[in-house]
Amino acid sequence: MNAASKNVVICQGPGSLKNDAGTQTGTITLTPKKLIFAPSKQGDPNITISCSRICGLFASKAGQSGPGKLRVHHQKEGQPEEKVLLSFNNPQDVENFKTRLSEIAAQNKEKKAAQEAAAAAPAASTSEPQGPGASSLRIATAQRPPPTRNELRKSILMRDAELARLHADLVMNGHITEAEFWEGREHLVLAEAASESQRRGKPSVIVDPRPVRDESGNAVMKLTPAMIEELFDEFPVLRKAYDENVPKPLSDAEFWKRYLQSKLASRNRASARGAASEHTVKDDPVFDKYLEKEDDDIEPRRQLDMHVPKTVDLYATAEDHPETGNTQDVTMQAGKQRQALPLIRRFNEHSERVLNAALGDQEHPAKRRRIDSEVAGESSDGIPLQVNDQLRFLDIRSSDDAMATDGPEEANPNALLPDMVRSLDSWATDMSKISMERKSVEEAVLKMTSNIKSRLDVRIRRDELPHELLAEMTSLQTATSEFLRQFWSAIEPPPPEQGILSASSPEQRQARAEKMVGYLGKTQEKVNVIVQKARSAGVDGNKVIQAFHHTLSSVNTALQAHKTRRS
Amino acid sequence: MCDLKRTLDASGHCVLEMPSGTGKTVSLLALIISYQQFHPTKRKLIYCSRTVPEIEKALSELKRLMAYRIKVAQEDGDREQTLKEQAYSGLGLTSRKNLCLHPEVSKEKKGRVVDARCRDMTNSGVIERAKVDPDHNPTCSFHDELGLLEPGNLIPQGIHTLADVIDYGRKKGLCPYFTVRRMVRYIMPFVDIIIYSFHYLLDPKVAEQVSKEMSKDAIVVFDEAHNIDNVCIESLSIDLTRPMLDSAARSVTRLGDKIEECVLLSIKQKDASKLQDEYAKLVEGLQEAEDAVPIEDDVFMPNPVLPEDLLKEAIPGNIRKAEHFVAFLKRFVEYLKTRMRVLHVVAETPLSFLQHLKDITYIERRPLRFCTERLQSLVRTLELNRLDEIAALQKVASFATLVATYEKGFLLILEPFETEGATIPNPIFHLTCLDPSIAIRPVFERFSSVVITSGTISPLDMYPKMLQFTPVVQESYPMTLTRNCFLPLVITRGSDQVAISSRFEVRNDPAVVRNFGSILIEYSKIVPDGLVGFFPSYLYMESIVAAWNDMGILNEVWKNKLIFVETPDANETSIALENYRRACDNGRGAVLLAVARGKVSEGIDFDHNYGRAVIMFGIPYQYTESRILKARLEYLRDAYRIREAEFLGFDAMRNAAQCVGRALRGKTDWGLMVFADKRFARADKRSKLPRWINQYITDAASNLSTDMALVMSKLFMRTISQNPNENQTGISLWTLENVQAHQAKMKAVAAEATVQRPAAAPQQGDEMDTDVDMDMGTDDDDYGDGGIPDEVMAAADLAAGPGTLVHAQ
Repeated sequence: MNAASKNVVICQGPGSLKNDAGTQTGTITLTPKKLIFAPSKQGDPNITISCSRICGLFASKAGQSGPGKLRVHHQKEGQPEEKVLLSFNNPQDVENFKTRLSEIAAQNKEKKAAQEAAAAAPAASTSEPQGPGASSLRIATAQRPPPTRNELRKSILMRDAELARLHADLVMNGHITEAEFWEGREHLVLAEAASESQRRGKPSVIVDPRPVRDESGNAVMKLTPAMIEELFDEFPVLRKAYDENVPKPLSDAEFWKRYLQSKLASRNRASARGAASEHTVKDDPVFDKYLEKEDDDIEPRRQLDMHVPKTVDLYATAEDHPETGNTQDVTMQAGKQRQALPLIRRFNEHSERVLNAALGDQEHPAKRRRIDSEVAGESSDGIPLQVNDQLRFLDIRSSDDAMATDGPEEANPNALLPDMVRSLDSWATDMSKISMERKSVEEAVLKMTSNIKSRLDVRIRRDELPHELLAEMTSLQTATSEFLRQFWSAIEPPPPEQGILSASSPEQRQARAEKMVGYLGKTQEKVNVIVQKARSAGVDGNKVIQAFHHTLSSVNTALQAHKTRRS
Repeated sequence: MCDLKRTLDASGHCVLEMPSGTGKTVSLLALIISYQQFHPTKRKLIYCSRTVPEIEKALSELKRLMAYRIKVAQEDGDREQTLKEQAYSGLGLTSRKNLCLHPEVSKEKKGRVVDARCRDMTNSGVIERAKVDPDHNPTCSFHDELGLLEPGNLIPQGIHTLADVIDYGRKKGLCPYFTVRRMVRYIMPFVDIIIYSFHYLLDPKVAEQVSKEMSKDAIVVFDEAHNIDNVCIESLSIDLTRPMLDSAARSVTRLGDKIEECVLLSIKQKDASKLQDEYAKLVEGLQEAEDAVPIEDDVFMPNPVLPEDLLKEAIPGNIRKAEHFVAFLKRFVEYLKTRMRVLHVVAETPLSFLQHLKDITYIERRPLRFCTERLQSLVRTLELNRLDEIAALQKVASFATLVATYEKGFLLILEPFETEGATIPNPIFHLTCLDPSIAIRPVFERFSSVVITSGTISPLDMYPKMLQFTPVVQESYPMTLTRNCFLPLVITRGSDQVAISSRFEVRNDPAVVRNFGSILIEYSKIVPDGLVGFFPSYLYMESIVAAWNDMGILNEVWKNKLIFVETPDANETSIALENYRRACDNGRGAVLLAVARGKVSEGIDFDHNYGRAVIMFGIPYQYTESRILKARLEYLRDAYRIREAEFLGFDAMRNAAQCVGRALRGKTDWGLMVFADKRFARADKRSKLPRWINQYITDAASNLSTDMALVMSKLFMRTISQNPNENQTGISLWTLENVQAHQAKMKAVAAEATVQRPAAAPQQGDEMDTDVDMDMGTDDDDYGDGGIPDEVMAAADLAAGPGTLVHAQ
């Protein structure tokens, strides 16, 4: 008996499930709370999808040969969408499941839309009733709660495979604690938090459905749900038209078909030619109702009520003195190209909308950041950037800092540069007068070639190491460096600005240092083990010893330091 | 600095070109204020700028400069000096529209309506009547409140920006506009510096009201003066259109009705009517009538003619009677309407116009000249409200007065069609002033020191020639930079090697349009934050934006940045600008497309992240088919020996330089300047660019294709965006030691020169003497033109961060 049968079963039927892991056959059951797949093969775990997570359903066309198929999209809060493909042996089941699941999906969509609408309520105009199909595509402008530290760490590990491996080796195996592992890596967490806290804005490209030719040469326009949503945002009148005409008297598909052929569409097109070719478009009784006057007057139709600071207020200048002088010549009269004006206005409005989607409606300009520090001494935090190659960047910065703290005399590159330039300016050597001794040249060339040769040898020889051995060596190497890092960071005083994140007391740090010394002390043994292995695999053990030479010497330095500290 | 001081000492005029973004404003202010504070005579400073944003900026810089001076004086423990510094006051003046606080009036959209409604509530007649019958004579409480205060004590001493004055007015319930006006008018001895726009000094209509009280020894500074000739010309030119004439005719009829009403009323009441009083006054003479005006709040309608051209005699008899005058106006308007019916272009001199007028309508020149005066007097007598409604009539009157006053330097052009191809007549009657020196002459004559300065005023000798004055000093300063913080590039061809140009014949060629587009796309990819593109004209911008959109070029740009475009409406454009800045602050980045000579190119800064690159698409030549321009060119050639091509090139390049110069506003700032036109590669074009830009255009960068320019730009950005060593001294920022060392050197040179040319010695000696005791900041640079005092430097540094100050080498 199935575990699910204890609950109320809405419908059930044999079939198969296909997900990322592969295809399995078994029984599919739908209960009020869950969609359960029980594989027929004993021992395999049941796959359950909570109904509240189902966000989309796609069905194969009815009447097709073969088993009926349903694709279920489900999504956990804040995670990417996943999908499973359900195939049913019995066509009857398909219909049952389809109706039930589509109800659930629709409910979920509404709920989500309601949540988002509530969150986006201050953004006003967009929260009017929405047509079906539109709601799930709303761009989430709601502020999510800031992710916890663990979530941040997790996402870092998900992205950085190497770090994840090290984490698995050391933390999962209990060598060091989670906190210890992250100590000294605070910048990663901070950067992740910064990138998490940044809201993703809308894509800025203006949606402009343009016809493409298909194979048979017909012009086809494709509208994706995302585009439809954009169109609704862009043209509130279109949303109004949709609300008033769908499903009656027009169906969804019909609506769009007629819209794309209407004057309204040709006017809404982001094209200056749209208006020019308007007379070629047929009249449409439905859409022509919604035609508005072209916004091509010198003054815009839209009400403008944004607060503009004096420093960019062009209007104030225009009003500052009486109109005098002759009118401008034709080329300098703004707005002469009437058909370009609606287009230009659309650009400005679209940009503003994109901006508002990311920033919220206008914030007070006084609060904004000014780079040129109009009030000296008042510095701002700036906007944290998401820099891909963080380490490199941080290295550069810290070296800059180091330079800044040095005496300005010796380490200021700007001060040094003129000197160098001067010395280079006066540097003049007549190349033709240079003559070299034959012997020394030969010697030098010989040295260089031998150097290159030895390097080449090393490279060739390295390839001889068997794969497993190499992997083992790498893992030991990284683990040891991590231990070393931990050790030194435990000994050194913590950097002041990271004090909040690494809140470990001196005792803890002492204990940690001890622990690390313990690990480090074993390094020699481990190396020996690998050397043994290498020898048994028929590889020169000296190579391994050589490879670990530097690691071991730094381990020894660490151990030495520890000893002297204790004594 | 010392050039400026020499000018002030010599009481002469000067032309100075200082690179933009180097603290031009603050260094000018610093010197002049020191000069003012040191000399007991306290010459006033009239500081003119182009736009309200620039006025506001200058005021806030001034405010911080004074805060610094007060601080230094306090630190020195010099109480007297401290008090002196604290007493220094400065104000900015702008229109009613910008300052109004009245709950209803301030909501009016048009400045002219605000002016009219404000006058209706604040003129002395209304106030008198309101005392009797407050319900039917609304007054403005903000203005009333002001009347209760002692003039001269309206606002505390110190520097107030426009925003400050508005805030203060709001707090105290005072009208900001009249606060400033009265402060300036009654107690000019207490206001040391006034900042307003060019028009307030150059346009006789405004200058009459505002600038009459300024004392003769005041120092006048025209900042951002590269367009000063255009402002001069504008202030004396007038256009009439048919709708305007229709409206004027209606106003005349209304005036007639009103007069009749008035006459009837006086018959009924059987006493002397107001009109008769007026007539009597007019017989006595104009001047007396003028004197009868009590307060400046009552000035209704200013005269468009310059003060010295005003006739100091009584209004001619045939228009003294109100009825006669109205009939006179009617005839004149009818005559103009008839002229408008002509379907071919007419260009004539004022003299021939007057002759024709006389032949047809028997209107003489003399009464025509008094048209404005007479209308003004009539309006005042009738106590008309809502002056904005008779604005067209006022314009016609101004037209009449101007055309009858000036014989030379003006031209009348009637254009029946707007464009060549148009078929529906839309006639415009231009009265165009061709000679910029007419409007500015009184300024040069009245004020002893006039300083004309801008970042882009090359070639320098052009301005004295056009404006007809003799400068004591004319100088262009190069820029000394600790690092090359801008990179000018000349792109002459696209990556496909097709030459790009905004020349009329090729500008709409798809290859050129595409190449311009690809420049925008590529730069939108590599430039962080803000990117500004300028076009030569609105027409071109609008057509090219449409073309780019259809070619899919803008879709590419959308992927990288948001796009904002200048629109015909100033308010709308301001909002687009504000959003553009938000996008730059946010890091999203944006492209702003605007027009050279347009609204945005004047006075809006694209500093720092607001403009990391400026692209000039084409050369901003004027439309050479314009008849007005042609007439002007002809006049310049005949009167001043300035060749047409020379003037056109000069005019285009000063505008181009002005556009790209907007990106650089301080020593920590950096930006790319891209000139995209093959004609920029020519030496004669580039030589017209200001020296400070031109010296950085290397040979390698003067003839690039798009891809090469991109490589250079990337390289530049990589090096420039490193942390600047902001307060490095010794190169552009000098310490006191540097200055002293330089002075010692210059002294040695001077001593040598003295030995060689003994004649030169006394003068130099004199200069030294005058300087020795000057107070802080200005006492140390007289020889050569090197040093800028350390204190001033520090002030500049504090003030705007544009510490890369200018010093000639």
